[in-house]
Amino acid sequence: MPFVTSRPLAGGEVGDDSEGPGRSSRLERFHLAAIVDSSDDAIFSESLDGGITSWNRSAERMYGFTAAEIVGRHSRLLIAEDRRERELEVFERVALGERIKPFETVHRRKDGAPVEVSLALSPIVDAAGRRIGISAISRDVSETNRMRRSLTQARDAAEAANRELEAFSYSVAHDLRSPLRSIDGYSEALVEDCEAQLSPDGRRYLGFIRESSQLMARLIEDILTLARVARGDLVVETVDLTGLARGVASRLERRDPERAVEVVVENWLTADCDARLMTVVLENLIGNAWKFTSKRTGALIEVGCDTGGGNRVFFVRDNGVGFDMKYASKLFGVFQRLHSTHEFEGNGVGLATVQRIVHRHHGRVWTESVVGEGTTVYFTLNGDVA
Amino acid sequence: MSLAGQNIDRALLLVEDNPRDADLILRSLKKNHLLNPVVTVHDGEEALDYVFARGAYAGRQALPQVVFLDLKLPKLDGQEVLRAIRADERTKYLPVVILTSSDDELDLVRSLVGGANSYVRKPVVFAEFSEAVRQLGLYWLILNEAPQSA
Repeated sequence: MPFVTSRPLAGGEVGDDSEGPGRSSRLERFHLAAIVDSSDDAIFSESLDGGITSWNRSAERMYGFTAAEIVGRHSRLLIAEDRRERELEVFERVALGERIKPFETVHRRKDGAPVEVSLALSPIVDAAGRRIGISAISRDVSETNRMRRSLTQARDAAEAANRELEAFSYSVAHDLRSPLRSIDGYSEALVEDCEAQLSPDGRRYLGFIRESSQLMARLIEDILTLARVARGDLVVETVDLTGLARGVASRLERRDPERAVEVVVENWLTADCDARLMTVVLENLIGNAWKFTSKRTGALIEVGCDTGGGNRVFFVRDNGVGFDMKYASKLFGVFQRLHSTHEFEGNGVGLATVQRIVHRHHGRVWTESVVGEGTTVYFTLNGDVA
Repeated sequence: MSLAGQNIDRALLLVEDNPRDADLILRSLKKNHLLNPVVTVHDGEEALDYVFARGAYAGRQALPQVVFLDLKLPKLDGQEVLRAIRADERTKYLPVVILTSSDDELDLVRSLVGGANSYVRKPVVFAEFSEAVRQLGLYWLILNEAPQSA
């Protein structure tokens, strides 16, 4: 079915009058008609009182009416009953010359089936500036909406499952603490109260129990931290990262006074971030650097920031054992470890926590490392790109 | 009468429903030579019976020197116990230390708003737990002056 007009659309009438209805104007009209006809959107025009005056091919497909059936009839026929009042009100406003944005509504096919559309109505004006009709572009958004709804549903379900899982792991970790305190406490009580009755093996085994329960305590605290950083709002303020990093380093120095580690922190590092969470990041990164330099002399940890193109890349660098870069992708997974506990203590929760915090700050975290030479962990914050 | 002499007779009221935790607290107190009598109760209702000298505790003598109060308790929970203590003229200044496993920010805020004197999270590692109990005992049983009334 060709593009039927009982009255020409724009283009024919909006042309420059001085040019007259010449050949170029007719050609232009053909071009426009071809464009209108090949559009995937239903395009039709209406008179100011709502009578349909033209109807393209897509309109035939979408609504099930042929041009012959619909031209001359009132466009309210196309509107789902419960939307009629509102849509005709919009139509009136456009007929009075108001410009409105495309809006979503529900139309009705010839067979009565509803179709969700995005509808753009605009006035058609003649050469003299008089409003002579309204053009309507109607796009079927049923499928898009259906997909959007199912995506939203899937996302909501995934988020809910994730929250549930997080709440679950949080409460499990939380509830493990009390029995663990008993295990640790009574192991100590046994050593203190009954040491005389214990054989050397018995004492050794008790030592293992206490050692294990303390590792588990640490693990539980780390899992709780990981769960906590995902919850709660960020309190973003300008934070003195230099001060935070030096604080972390001096705590490590107090904890391991026998270690000789040179920690060099760049002056005047600040960032807009959550101070509490950024402390967790630096504790993990500097703590790792501290740990992985423990088997060498001349240990050096550097904390600083590279600035390039207005973007800031923070880094924590060490000259420790390093790791094989082929494992780099595993580094940020929970419980992923690249060293045995025999070599270096740890439980593989720290970097997962770091990554989560950096992501919450719209940043990115990655590493560079050479076995035997050291590791650098880089991170950005607040959408800075590297 | 010396203050120290007075204090040493006055009880610590320990409100703790986990018998193992209660036992470990007692052990830590004893180990650290904090010898005040300790009255252990296992739920919120029993705690209030003791505080207000009613029911099974109708005959109790002085107010406790301090209350160590867990939050998750059967019957009345710790927040409710705290509220009842603060609402009563006789006990509104009674020192109450929240000693809990909870690290929920909301529990902390509610406790402080409710008039808790202190909020302490129970450490998991026993050495730290024992140290926390030692410091709390030393401060609240020996150094701090608690009101004598009722």
